[in-house]
Amino acid sequence: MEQRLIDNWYLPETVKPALLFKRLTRKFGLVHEPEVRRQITYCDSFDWRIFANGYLLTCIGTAWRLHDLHTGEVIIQESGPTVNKGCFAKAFQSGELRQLLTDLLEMRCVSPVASGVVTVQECRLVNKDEKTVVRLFLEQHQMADAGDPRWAVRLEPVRGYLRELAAVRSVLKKYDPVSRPLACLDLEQGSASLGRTPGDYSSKFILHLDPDQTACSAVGVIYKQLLEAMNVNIPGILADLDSEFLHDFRVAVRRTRSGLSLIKEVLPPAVVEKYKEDFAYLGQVTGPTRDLDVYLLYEDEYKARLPESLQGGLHSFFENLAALRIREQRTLVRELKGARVKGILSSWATYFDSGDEQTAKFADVPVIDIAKKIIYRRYKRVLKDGLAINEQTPDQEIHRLRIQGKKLRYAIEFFGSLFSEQDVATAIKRLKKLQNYLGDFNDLSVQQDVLRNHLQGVRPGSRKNLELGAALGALMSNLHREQVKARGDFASIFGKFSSAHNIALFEKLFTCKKESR
Amino acid sequence: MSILAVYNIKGGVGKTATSVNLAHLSACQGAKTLLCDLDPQGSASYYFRIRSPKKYNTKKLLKGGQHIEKNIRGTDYLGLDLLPADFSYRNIDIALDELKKSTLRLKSVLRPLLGEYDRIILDCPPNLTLLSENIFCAADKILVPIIPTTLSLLSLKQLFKFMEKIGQKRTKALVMFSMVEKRKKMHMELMEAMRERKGVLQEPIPFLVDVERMGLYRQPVTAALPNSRASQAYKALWQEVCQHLG
Repeated sequence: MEQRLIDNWYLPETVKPALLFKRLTRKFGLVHEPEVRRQITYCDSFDWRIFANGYLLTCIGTAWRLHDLHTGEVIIQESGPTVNKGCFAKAFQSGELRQLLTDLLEMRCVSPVASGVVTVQECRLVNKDEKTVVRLFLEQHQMADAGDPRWAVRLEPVRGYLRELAAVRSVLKKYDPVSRPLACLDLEQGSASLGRTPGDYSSKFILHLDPDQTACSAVGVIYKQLLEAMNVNIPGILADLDSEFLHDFRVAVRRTRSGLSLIKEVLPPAVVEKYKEDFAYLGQVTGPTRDLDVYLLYEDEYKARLPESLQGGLHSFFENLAALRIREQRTLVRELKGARVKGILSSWATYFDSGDEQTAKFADVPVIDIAKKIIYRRYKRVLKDGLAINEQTPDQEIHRLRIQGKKLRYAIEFFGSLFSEQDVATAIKRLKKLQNYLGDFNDLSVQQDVLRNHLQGVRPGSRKNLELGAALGALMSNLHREQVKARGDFASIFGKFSSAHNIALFEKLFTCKKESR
Repeated sequence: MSILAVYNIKGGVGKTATSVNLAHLSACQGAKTLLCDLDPQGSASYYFRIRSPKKYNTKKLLKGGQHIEKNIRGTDYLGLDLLPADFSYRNIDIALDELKKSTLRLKSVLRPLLGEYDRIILDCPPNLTLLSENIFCAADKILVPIIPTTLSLLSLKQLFKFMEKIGQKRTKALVMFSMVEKRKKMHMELMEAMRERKGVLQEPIPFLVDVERMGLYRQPVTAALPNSRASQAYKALWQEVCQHLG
């Protein structure tokens, strides 16, 4: 079988390529191929989904390549769109690459994260018959705004000429071997010049608190991290790259609001009141655009719910939403650039940096005590509310339970690092199952409300509106049927959540000794 | 995945030039290609500047497996490898005769290589022996270059008769015109008459100096002079062959 040997060495600055070539001419003839110079762009989503899955995505003009992160080998090579500030998987022609990107990126787009120039000079080493026995590639990688170029030598063996390969290797062995693909180093170097590091952002909320920390300093850590998440997402929202920037921003806002109302008497009440109001305002100004984003993301799913003959009717519905979204986005940008939003975010940051003379009742209590109390209280509430729900309870109560579930989830996420990692992961996993159900159930009824509202605004008369009406009607009945079915599942889903061993887990994790007695 | 043999009873009809150029075109298309030089003269190996490995001989070829794999050499072109010829191939018939199932031996050593290669092209020596029978069994198609002369037609008839005798279908053979000289009336007339028949390819390879000069620059003409008339002719022929290979 063919031997696939990847030989890569760095060429030190002190060694000029000419010197290396001279050394090789003692044993081989050298045939230089023309130098190839290429502008290369590395792309990834804002949350590094390509990188996190062990790939690298590069683009030279319209030629896109997906590399293995660890070997640098090209896995897929296809032509695609010209790179611009944001490319969605949809912009690629259908093929292997598009499929993979669709799965990895979902609603996210890829943007340039590094760029530079790669120059490759191929040199064929030939024997006395002028037969190529080894291929040598001299590469120069110069990333934009990133200091000195990097030189490297790569060998490609020719089958059946192992002795010659060994001879070239022995010439090169005194240089440092390249342990990681140059493409990977390019990405790191290039993204660093843009102030980023691969994998530096994830929408996951990961905190490290210390149980002995005072409650006041712990909430400082929590709120500062959430504020950071808001700030890093703002440029993406303003540029309107994809819907996730706004989503992540809003999640951070919601978590902050939740924190302010859940964690009582750690910050001074006046501060809490002010920022509760301020963050409510942030939630409010970002709401309309996000709502429309959600519906626009439903487009394919909605179509799949309808028979083909009715799908056309949805076209004007989504067109309408898209036009509305453009208007809302404009308002949103104006708000985010406006004085009030900027004021809220900067004063919140300075509040933690400057330190407050006023203190609250529990400010200096160890965080673990507060954490247990808050989480356990939330948990009991979810349990109580959930158990009160039976088949006759109105849907409204299920929605309330969803809110309670969310509060519990946030509370666990704030303080999760204080408890056993595995137990917390299990607790979250079980809660998540309930939450997913509640979320889906809520979505089904909210969606029906929105469609009903839209339908009320549709005036009869035109053919187009008739088709739209038919499509919306069909969609509503489809959603309704699903909701009715989902309602029937409540008992079994909540039954699992409130099972004895689940209760034991939560009690073990979050009860204070005093309470458990 | 297929095996294409380039074969004729007669020598000097352009078998090696055809196999070398078609193998190069096949690799250019992106198909991983192996050219087997079965002619003890080793002309195809010579064109690619590849010498027969020291420990390689007929025995190794007929043993197959690792013994072949170890001796395959990469050419200067990506995706094109070559199994060089050895002078000992001149006695290949004797060696074959001593083996069991002697007519299927070549097939059994070549078929496994199709796991690695998309296409195998055989450059065959000119004769009509046990090796030829092996080649006919191993190949999916047999490309027969002929110079449009009366003697060539005679040898073609002999070939068909031989194929019939060993139980191979005539449809396996693809006849192509090689070294065609436009100025010779007989070439043109014979070609016209033959073209009507089944299994005769339409694209001729003209008699061109560039093809003859391959021995000087030791490269396929399709690589050395990609825009020459000779290259164009080989490209057209290759397209036609591909249609038959399926």
